[in-house]
Amino acid sequence: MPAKPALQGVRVLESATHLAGPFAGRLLASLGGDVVKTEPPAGDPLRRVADGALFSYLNAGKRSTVPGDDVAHLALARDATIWLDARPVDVVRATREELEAEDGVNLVHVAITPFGLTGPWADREATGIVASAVGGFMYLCGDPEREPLRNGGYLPEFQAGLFAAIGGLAGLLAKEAGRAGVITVDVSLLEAVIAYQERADLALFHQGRDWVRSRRHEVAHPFTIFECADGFVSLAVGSPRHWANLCMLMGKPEWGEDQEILMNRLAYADTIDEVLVPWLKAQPAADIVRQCQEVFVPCGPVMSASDVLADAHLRARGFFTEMAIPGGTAKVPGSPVRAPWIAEELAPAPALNAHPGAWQAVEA
Amino acid sequence: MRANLLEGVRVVELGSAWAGPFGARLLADLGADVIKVEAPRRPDLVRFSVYLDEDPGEIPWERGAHYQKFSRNKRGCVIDIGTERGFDVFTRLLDESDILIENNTPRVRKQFGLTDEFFAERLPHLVVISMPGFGNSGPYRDYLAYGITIEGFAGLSSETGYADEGRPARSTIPYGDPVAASYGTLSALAGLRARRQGEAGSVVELSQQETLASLLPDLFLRAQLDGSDPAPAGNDDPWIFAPHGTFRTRGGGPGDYVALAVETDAQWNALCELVGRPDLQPLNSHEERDGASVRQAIEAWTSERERDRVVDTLQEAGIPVGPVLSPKEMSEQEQVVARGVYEPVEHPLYRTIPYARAPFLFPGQETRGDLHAPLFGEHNREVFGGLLGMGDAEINELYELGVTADRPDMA
Repeated sequence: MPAKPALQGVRVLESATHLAGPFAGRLLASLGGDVVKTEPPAGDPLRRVADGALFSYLNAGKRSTVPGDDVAHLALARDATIWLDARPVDVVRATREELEAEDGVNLVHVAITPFGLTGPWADREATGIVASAVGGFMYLCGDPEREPLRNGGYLPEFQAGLFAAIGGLAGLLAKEAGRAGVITVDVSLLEAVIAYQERADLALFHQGRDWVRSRRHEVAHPFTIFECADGFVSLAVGSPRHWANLCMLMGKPEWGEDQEILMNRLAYADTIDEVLVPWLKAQPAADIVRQCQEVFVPCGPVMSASDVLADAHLRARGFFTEMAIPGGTAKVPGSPVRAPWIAEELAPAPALNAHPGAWQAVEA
Repeated sequence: MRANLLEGVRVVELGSAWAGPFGARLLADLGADVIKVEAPRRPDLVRFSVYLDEDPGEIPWERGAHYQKFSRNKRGCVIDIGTERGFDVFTRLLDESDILIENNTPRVRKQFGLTDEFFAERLPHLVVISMPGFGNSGPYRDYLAYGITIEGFAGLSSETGYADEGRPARSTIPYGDPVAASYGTLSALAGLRARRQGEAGSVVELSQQETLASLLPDLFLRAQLDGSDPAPAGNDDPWIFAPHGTFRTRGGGPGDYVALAVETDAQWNALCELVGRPDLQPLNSHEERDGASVRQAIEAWTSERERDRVVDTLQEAGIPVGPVLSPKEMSEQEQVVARGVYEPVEHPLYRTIPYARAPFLFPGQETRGDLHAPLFGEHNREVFGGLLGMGDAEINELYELGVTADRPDMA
C-alpha cells in the first residue's frame, strides 16, 4: 500500500508570482500539500512568458483563485495552515500586524521578500541577479578584467523557494507539536544567496583574505573547467590520491610523488597545465571522464541542456517527466525527492481563477 | 542563531564535507538536537583544509574553516561503525533518534551494512536521508561527485560564461552540495510529518545531479522550445527581464558595477528618463530593450557615477538594482549588518569568528546563540552516558577497544 503523502491535509495558500514563491508552492504540492494560489486579476505575469511553459511547471498541482480584495485574501489565509506570502513587503508587514492582533489564528506565515521584513533595505526591490550581486556571488564569477557573471538560470529565486518551503515545514511541525498562534518565517532572497557562500566568506574571516574572481580555483588545482576534443570537462582534483592518479593518467607519474608540487599545485598551475591541457584537448569528454572515474579522479562532462535531457543515467532513473505545455508536451524535471510519501503525479497548472471557491470547491 | 521550532527532534549525521553536514546543520539551526558521528580513522574531511590563519597548528583537525561553518550547533561523538561493537552503539543511538542524514557513496553505505533492508527491519521508525552524488541506481551510481563536476552533469556549467567566448566559466560555488543539503533538510521535515500521521519511517534518496537539475527547469524548457541549446549568454535573461545585467560604474575595480533587472514598462520608462534617454522609451520588445545600443546608453550614464549613488537613484525609482559587492563588502553591507546575518561564534581553542546564519528569522519566537562545531569526540561521554545510559566502565572499554576516541587516528 503506498504511503499517504507527507503533507496530506495541509492547506497551503500561495500569494506569489514569478519564481521563488511559486517554486516553494510546487515543492509543498509535490509533498502532498493542498495548494491554492492567489493571483492578481491579470494573472501571474509568468503566464505570459514563453507561452506559459515555466508557469506550467512551477504551478502544476495547484488551484488558482483571484480574491476580490484584501479582506477576501485574509479570509483565505485564516483557512490555511501555511501561507507562502511574497506580496510587496509593506502589504506583508501590514497583514502580519493584523494577524497578530487576532486571537485564535493558527498559521505559519512565510514572508518571502527581497531583503527581509526589517532593516534599511527592506523596502527596496531585488531580483535574482541583484541578490547575487549584493550577496557577493557575482563578484567571484568570471574574469577579473571583465564584468562579473551571474551563475546560470534563476538559481537565487529557486534557493529562496527551497528555504521558504523548509521554513514553512519547520513551522508546521512546531504548530502540530502545540505551538500557539501565528509563526512568522521571514525569508529573504538576499539571505538565501548568502547561505550558500562557501570558501569566500571563510577565507575572509579565517584568513583575512578578500578574494577576487578568477578562472582558476582559489585553493586547489586543477579544479575548474577545461577544453577537450569535443567540448569541455570539469576536474575537481582535491586529495593527494586524486592528484597522484591524475598524474598517472596524463603520463607524469613522478609529479604524483613530488611533495613540492603536491602541496603547491596552485603555484605550479602553469607547469601542470603545459601537460594537462594538451592531454585533455586530444580526447573526447566521454573518454576522459571514464578514465578519470575508473581511478577515482572526480571529473565530469560539461553537458548541454539536451545532453542532460538525453542522459543515459537520468533515463535509467526515470528522472524527467512529460508535461503539457501550450501546443504540445515538454520534458521537465521530476521530483528529485525519492520517498514513499511523495504525491502522485501533479495535475496540470490551473487556468486563471479556475477555483474561485479555493478549498471549498472540492468539499462541496 | 538557533531557533526552537524543532525542539524534541533528534538527528544523527554520518556525513562528510558539505552536503550531509550542511543539511544536518540547517536542522540544528532550526532547533533539533543533531549528533554528528565521526570515526577515529574517518574524521570529517573538511577538518583539514582552509586552516585558521593558514596554519594547521598542533591540532589541525580543529582548524578547518568548512568544518566550523557546516557543523556548528551540533554535538559530536566518535564511533567506529566498522566494528561490531561500534555498529551496535551506533544502532542504539539511532534507536533514540528520529532522523539519520548521510552523504556516503552507495559502496561505503553497503560496506557498513546500512542497507534499506537493515533500516526497514531494525529501525522502522527512522527517517533516513541519503544523498549520494548520482543516486543508488543507473550507470553513474559509483561515480565520484565532487564540487564543480555535478554542475556539468546537471547542465548548469553549459550556460554560465561570457557570450563572446563560447566557453563555460566556473561558477562561484559548487552548487551540487548546498542544493542537495537543502533538499535533505526539506525531506527530513517531510519524513517526520509523514511519520506523525501514522506512517513508518522512510528511506529518502536524493541524487545531487537530480536535485541541481530540478532548479534549472528554464534551461531544459528553452532547449525544447527554441530547438537549440542555451549557450553562455553573459548576464542576459532570455525570458523575463530586459535589460538585465551588470553595468560599469565610476572607477576601474572588479566591483565597480551594478546589477540591474527591468521587468515592467514603468521601470523601463523610469530608467530611460534617469539615464537621460527618454527617446528610448518607445522600445517595447524584450529584444530591443536587451540590445547593445540600450546597454551602451545605460553604461554611458552609470560609468560616470559612483556605484552606490547609482543604486540609490535607481532604487528610488523602483528599479531592482544592487552593487556588485566583494565578500568583505557584503559582510559589512548595511542590510546584512542590520539583519545580523553574520553572527559571531565563540570557540574554546581560538578567537570568536562570525558565520552566516540560516536565511530565516522567526520574529516573536525564542532563539539561542550559536554553539561552536564540536571538538573531535567532545560529547562522547555525554552521548554514551547521558543518552545511551552507559556506565563509565563501558565507556572506558570503548576507548580501550578503539571504538571511540578523543583525537583522530592519523596513522
